[in-house]
Amino acid sequence: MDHFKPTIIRNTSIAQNYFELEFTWPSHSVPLPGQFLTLRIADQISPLLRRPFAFSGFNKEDRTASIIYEKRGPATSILSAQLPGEALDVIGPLGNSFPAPINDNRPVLVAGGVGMGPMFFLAEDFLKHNIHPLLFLGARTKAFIPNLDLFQKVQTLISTDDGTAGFSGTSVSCFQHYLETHENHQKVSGYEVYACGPNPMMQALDRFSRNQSWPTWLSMEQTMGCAVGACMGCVVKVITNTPPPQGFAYARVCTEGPIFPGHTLIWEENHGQQ
Amino acid sequence: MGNSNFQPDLRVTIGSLTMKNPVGVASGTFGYGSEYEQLIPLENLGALYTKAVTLEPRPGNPIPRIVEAPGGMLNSIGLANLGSRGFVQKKYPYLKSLPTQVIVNLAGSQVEDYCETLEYLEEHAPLGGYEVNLSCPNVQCGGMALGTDPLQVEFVVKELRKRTAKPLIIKLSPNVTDITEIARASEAGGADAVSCINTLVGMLIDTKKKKPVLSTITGGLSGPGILPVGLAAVFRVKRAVKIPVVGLGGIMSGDHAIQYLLAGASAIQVGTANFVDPEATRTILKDIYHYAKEHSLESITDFHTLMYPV
Repeated sequence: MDHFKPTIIRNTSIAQNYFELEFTWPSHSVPLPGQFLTLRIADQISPLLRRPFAFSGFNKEDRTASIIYEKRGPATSILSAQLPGEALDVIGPLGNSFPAPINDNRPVLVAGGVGMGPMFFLAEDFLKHNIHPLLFLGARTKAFIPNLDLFQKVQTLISTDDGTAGFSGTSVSCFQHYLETHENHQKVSGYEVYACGPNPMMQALDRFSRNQSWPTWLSMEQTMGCAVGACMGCVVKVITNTPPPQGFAYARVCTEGPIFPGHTLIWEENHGQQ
Repeated sequence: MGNSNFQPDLRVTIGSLTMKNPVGVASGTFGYGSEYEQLIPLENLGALYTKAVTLEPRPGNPIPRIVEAPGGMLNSIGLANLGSRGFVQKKYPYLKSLPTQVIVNLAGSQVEDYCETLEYLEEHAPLGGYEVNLSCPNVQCGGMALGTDPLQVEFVVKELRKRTAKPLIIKLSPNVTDITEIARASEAGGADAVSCINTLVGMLIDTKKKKPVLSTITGGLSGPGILPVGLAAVFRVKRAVKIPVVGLGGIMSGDHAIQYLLAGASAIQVGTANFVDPEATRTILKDIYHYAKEHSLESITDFHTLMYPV
């Protein structure tokens, strides 16, 4: 990880409330899909804490990186008003990254809302390795769905809660519907599931893929303090084989995560946390 | 000021220990140092106060543990740590090699816990000294409960004093009627210094969910909003005891730190600011140095006589 001040190249709306922020990456480090950075939004007391954002892309040749964020509060409102040429205050890359699928498992990428960012990055990365994933993108309504070139390169299935675009329902039910109707999934050796989105979506997906015994990798979100592993603030509850007590532990999203194997998460406590 | 060759001596002495400068990092905000080694040179720190160590491992409190508040943040981590044995095995080997003073923050539920933890660390993990957390607002018993009763404070400090010659710094809670009482009790028990303040008890409520934001209902408030509270505490405590006072609470800038030194602090700790800007300690030390130079202050104690006599 490094702490540095890159320059904004582009900060544009890609769908209603969603922005893509592209910036220079003068650091020697190479961000991987699933990893994140923190931004100090403004040199003022409020918003105070740095905000975490997952990488949505990294261009090795141009040394540029990007994030996709949702404008939903004071911090992201300030961010959305920043212009090309202005400096960002970045610490990154942070956290672990998505692993490659085992054997010949076909990757299934499930994105909900702002969770699309890391899924787009992962899809691009798979394509570079000649792996062809399936991408499920869910949103509340059509206005929140961006129109990206990526959808021409990757088999993408869109779903909306209100049915205004693509499948009517959640991205998880869209995935289940796909399996039932579009493909005899016995043909592929198996699926490996990667997801980032609201916790109810990820819990539903985890429950489904556990039944199928598919490896599942979930990108968890939690309010962060330091984001470098020091403060123990951004934890999720996970199953452990060893004490401390009763076979559970709190794992730091910023350090042990943000990517966790689905079967290790204890949803009763993690559910509903954002 | 005229003499550009003038070099202030910013070293700080607490008991038998000398810190190379007055700027430390507060317990709970800096882990065990390694978390920040890629971001800042740790040798520039005057002292590193570790995350609290308890006798046995603690998983910490349920989620959510942290939330931003107006002018700061609320936390309820619940002393999550590896316990004294885990600390010795996994953290001590790194900490003992650090080119800065490492002060181990001790926490517990009862007097016996503190004593046993200290004895164990004296034997297995000798470091620079101890900061005794008698004021954590986020654990059920001990911590703050212990730290709010002067008689109990004096007793526990006496018991710890019997067990170590190393500096004992007692961390005081602002959540008391009279913080100077607790400071005097610490001094009477044989403490080498007091540090103040720990976080203030606070809460936030989610009006959509109609429930407290933190799992434990209340948490500890830190950040720039508590600066005036910390300053008032240091100012009063300094005038109540003869031992050095370590000031903390809301320090975000050099100016904030200098205010603590003027109020009577011999050293300061930077906490929440590390989260916002890991280089805060460097900026703060630089500002203190320039202020000392500008005002021809030869040492930290010169700061204490600088303010208009009050």
